[in-house]
Amino acid sequence: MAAGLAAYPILGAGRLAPLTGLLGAIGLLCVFTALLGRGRLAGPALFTLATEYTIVEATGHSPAASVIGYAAGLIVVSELLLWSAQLPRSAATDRAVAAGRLALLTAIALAAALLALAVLAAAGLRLPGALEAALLGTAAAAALLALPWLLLLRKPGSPRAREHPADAARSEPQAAGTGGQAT
Amino acid sequence: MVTWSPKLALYAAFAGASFLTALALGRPELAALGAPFALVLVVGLALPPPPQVRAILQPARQRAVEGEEIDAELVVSAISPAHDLQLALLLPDGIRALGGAGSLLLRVEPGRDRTLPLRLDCAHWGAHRVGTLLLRSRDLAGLRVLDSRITGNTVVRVYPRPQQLQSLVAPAETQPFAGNRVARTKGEGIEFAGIRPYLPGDRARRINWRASAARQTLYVNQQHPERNSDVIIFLDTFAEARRQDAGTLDLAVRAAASLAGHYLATRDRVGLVGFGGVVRWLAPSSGATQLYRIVDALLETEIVFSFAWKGVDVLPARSLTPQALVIALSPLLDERSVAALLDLRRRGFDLVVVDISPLAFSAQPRDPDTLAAMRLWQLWREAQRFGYERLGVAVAEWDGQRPLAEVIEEVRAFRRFARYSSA
Repeated sequence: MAAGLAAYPILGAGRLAPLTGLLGAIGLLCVFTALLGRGRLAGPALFTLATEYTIVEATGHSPAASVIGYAAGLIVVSELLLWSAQLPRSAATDRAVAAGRLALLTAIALAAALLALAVLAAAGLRLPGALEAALLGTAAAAALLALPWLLLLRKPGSPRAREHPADAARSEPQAAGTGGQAT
Repeated sequence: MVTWSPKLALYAAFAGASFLTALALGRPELAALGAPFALVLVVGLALPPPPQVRAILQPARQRAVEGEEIDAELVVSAISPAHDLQLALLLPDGIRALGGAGSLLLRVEPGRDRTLPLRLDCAHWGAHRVGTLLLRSRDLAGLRVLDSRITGNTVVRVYPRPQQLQSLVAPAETQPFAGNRVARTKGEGIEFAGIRPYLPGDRARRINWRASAARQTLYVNQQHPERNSDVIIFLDTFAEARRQDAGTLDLAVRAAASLAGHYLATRDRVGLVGFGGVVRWLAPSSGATQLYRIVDALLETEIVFSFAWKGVDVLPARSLTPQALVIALSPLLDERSVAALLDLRRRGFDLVVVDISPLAFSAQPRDPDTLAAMRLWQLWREAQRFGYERLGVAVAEWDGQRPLAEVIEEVRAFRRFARYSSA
């Protein structure tokens, strides 16, 4: 999938093909490094592939389907890279975890495609007046600002986790000779 | 404590960069690239945080012999779904999880305990505390991470594997209690000792009629009574030679456990003295309870570094009973233990030294200087052994490669020879 993402922009790059080819190669190298190095260079891989596509998009219009596909592909590659980084070495992996991850990836890919489609559809809207355009712009800006606000609201170390029943009932006697206690 | 995953910063940066680029270049298609990343952030942060997870390791039994495998169960529970829970079992050096079960990635449904069967290999003797776990749970989007540590408090006692012994070193003296050893004294017993003239009060059934007929006067049979003896296992814990996961102390503990088991089986009373930075002792006693006491004490044995000079006078009198056979298990590396053993011999104790050879655990010399130093050290050790032998102490070297029975036979042979030469 990463190879497809790296190769696709070269097809429509025209005279910028060497530059996009170079970026694609760097992106692929970063992807392999991230796979082998437990997520190292996952960020550069993501940014390089996106830059490659941006160059093509800035010099000429790509079809809507390619934007949707590229957006979905990029986030799937990113999720897979980060998941490979999270996997512990030589761990016995539960089959349910892999199945859950696969379902989540499918959902993310579908949601990404739908969202990209929605963004493109919103970009193609022809509004009747300036007031409507201003209102829509304000709403979009407010939605964008809501993201950092949401991030700031939830500081690390203050989870809204409910207390585990076993922690709540600390007076319960522990099984003889067994067990442990979370610190 | 919940921490942010690097994924959050990466996705936020990517979404922000794509939106800014889209704005700067006036191309909404570029915003479409970043929008899914922003969506993952928003949805992921709106979802519940990583769940608190509890896990308990329950071994099927808490006593095992070295080399045995025991079953265990790992019970994991969570209040909300743990989608990908990373679990690492931190086991002590002497215990291993078989089949790569030391690290797991699993899913736990809320309200349902997840029970995972494990198999633990008890590779090394000791009192091992098991059940310590490292847990890492993430929220569904993998944006927040909750790391926790569970400290286990289950102790699995792994006893040293006993060595096969054909015979034991017989103590020179016996004690007044009944046992399996034939005493040198004469009295009521089974083993024939000799004859003597009849004395008033002797029972008629003890009269040796054949001898009486030959000598024309009454003679009675004499027997050796069956008595037990006291054996003190003297464990030198001042210093050890160690290489990776094996050392002289391991060999000494294995030998001590084997000897204690065999002597107790022959109804002798066995005591233990751990002589080192920390001095421990168990007064001699007999029976299966004493065996458990000794083995439990051995499991706690460790080398405690100390500069303090210690002699046998620090030991309480009841730990070294008179006429006891003292079997010292020592690498003879520390002057204090060497001197204490000589002192014991001079005080009249029947002493046997099993020299747990540190040579097997020392690095092979590579240059001529080290080789010369090594040879000097070996010569010094031989001189030390000769010093013991001059005092009538049997010294046998044990490197762990050959059976302990062979070492015991060596000691028996020396004692036989010493008896003949002194006679």
